[in-house]
Amino acid sequence: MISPAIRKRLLMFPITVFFVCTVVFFVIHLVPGDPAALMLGESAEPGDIEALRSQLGLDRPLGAQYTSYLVGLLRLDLGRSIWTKEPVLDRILDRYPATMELALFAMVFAVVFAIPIGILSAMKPNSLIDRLAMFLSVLGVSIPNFFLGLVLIVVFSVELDLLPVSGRGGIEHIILPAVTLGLGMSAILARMTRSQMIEALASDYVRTARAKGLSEFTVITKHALRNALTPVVTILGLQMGALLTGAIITETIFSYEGIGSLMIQSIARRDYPQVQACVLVIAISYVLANLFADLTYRALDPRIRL
Amino acid sequence: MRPGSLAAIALSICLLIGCGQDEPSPHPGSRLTIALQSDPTSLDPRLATDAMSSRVIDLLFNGLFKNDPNGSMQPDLLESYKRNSETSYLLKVKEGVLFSNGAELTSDDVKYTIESVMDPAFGSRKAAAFKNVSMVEIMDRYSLMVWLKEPQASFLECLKIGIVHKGEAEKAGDEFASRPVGTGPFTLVEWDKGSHIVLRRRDDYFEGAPRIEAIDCRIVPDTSTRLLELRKGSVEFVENDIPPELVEAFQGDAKFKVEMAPSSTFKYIGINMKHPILSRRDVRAAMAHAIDRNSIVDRLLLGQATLASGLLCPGNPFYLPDLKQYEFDPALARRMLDEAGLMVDAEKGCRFSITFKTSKDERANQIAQIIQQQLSDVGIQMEIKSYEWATFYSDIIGGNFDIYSLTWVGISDPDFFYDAFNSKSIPPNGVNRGHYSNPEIDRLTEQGRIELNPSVRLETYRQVQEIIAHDLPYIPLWYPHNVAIMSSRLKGFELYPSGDFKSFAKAELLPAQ
Repeated sequence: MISPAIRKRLLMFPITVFFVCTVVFFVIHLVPGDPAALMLGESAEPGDIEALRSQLGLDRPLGAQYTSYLVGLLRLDLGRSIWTKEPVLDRILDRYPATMELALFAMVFAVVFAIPIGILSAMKPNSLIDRLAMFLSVLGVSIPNFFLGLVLIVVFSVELDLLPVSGRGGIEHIILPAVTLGLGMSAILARMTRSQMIEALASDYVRTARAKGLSEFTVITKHALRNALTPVVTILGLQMGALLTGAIITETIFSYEGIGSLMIQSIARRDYPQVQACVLVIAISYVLANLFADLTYRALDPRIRL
Repeated sequence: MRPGSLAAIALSICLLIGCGQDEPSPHPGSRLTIALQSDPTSLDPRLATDAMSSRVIDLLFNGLFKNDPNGSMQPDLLESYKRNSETSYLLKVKEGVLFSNGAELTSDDVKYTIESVMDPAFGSRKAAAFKNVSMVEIMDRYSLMVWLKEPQASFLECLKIGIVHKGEAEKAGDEFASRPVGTGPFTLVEWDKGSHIVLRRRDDYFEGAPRIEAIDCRIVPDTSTRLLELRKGSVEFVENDIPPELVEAFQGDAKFKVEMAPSSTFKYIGINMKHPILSRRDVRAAMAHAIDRNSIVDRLLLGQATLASGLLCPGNPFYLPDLKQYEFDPALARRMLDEAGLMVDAEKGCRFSITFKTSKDERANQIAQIIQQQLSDVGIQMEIKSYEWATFYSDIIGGNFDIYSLTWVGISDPDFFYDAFNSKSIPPNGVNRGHYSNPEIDRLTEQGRIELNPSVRLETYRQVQEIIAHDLPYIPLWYPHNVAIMSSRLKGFELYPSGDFKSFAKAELLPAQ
């Protein structure tokens, strides 16, 4: 049942992840900064730093460290955090769902917001609605997350007192971060949907559908939208990466403990195993999201055979 | 997959998450919520070295000694102490002090705490402070004798470390860092790593139960978010790392109270004494005269700092109020540099050029830019290089700099001059990162650490401070103030020079109107 193209992609999957892990391993080990010195702080005694380095295995040649990292990886052992001594996987499992939740909500917000706006704009190009929507989308792409997040907090949490400022908890905690993260994406999606829809609405099959006497609603949703969505789904897959990187800033602003803020903290502490584990799961998620996007085209457009 | 599926998945997740609810708060008036800048790394007093860990540990543990609000040492868990000989101390702990598990504090717990810190296998980051201890001997249930290898004037300083419960610590091992058992006014209820820590008051605390029922420490890393939480009222207390202009925004508001007091943090410019030009004392003095610290403190820090003359802050028993200060005098600085033979090179347009290293911190960079301008006014070209913290720190400990700016936090005993300026303390043996070497300082700092007569010791460190102020291996900048902004309902919080949270044990949170 699995077509050769899909099989090829599945084969590429471990190779891509392996390359990402390797590059990150060397980059994080080669940048200056010594976790042992950072951990021991100012009061460290001469022998202490050396002793800790050897206890952590950081005094071994980089090649040897890399080999044991790979061996661990094959056994699904990602190691223990240098700082907390806990298995890094525990922390990842603790944080990853939070980031996924945030990314999914952001994506749902982006889709729910962008696609109707894109369709409305396309139905009446250059109308007031279209102009307003496109102006907002330029704004949406241009506002940096850290600024948008703070503006949303000031308006919706402090002034209107509708939502909590930050932290993690119920659904009310996820609204502002998801909007912050999703707005940029929704701006891109809205523009994409608009241009694809304008093209689709002008096509022969839409004229045929209309000539058949179908209602305008059916024409738009069943005929035009379905064809317009294929490129939109591509963008959605690619934007998953942007969501995961955007999450780093968004999570910090909203004290939302996900994988992005964990990675930032681990990089600052040079907690090598933790950084590597974070990058590993982010890379896997990214590759999976793209694979998923590819499969979705096939569902949308049976002419595509993967 | 149909396009509708994605929405369906998302919707079901919405419903799942929607089930989460707020925590019940049984005594709304007495539950204090505070915001911390970062998650503590460990709640084991034997391991933690970062500020946030120490803040929380102070509420969970007591040491044998503590600092009072003026920063001087007072007995805490100790009933009495006595120096028996030059190298031995007899310590007696208070009777009837209970740990949060209900067990009574005994000399055995103290012995265990000290010995586990000293045990290399335990890997404590504080082992160095105890390296002069040769033996700890139990005399009776409450008394013990500590033997030192050689006389050490600053020894009692290390006994501020929190005393852990022996049985619990042995049983928990590494886990003790997240399940601490101490004698402090509060006990740990919950630690959701990266998110929040909940502490509950102990009714059997030996100095009387705190009036605040529970403290909820929320981890809010972003400064603006922290202040917005405070503004909204979802957090009732924040301390430090607050931009000075935002402090002013809270000052006029009756809902908030701003407390500000000098800290024991010392900000300075460190100098590489191996640098061909910077190794000259007259050049360093000229630079000190060229920097207008007053205008930086007034305009950039909005007065939230006190000018420093040396490492020890006012309030320290060894502080010298009349220590030499280098007044801002660019004309004098130019004259001194001329006399030193460092004329402005017509081609380069400056006398000489140096590099200033700093962290990525925004405020530190603004300060660096002002200093750059001020030094260029006297003909010194300064290039600023700012690095992410770990990279910056590795350059500093590696001696890879011309000049840099950093802080020393909470220096209390002057024995620190040995670590900072004795020629035996050049890295990796100590923190003499500028490679300063002066036989007189070597002699005095070695003498001061074993001198047990307080008045002789005072005199020794007076000389040390005067020589350092003259020689300028550091250009002292200022002592930044500790700043705490809290709800005006919080009464009785006292801001210590160290910025610690000990006074929450006596504070009170009035009910909301």
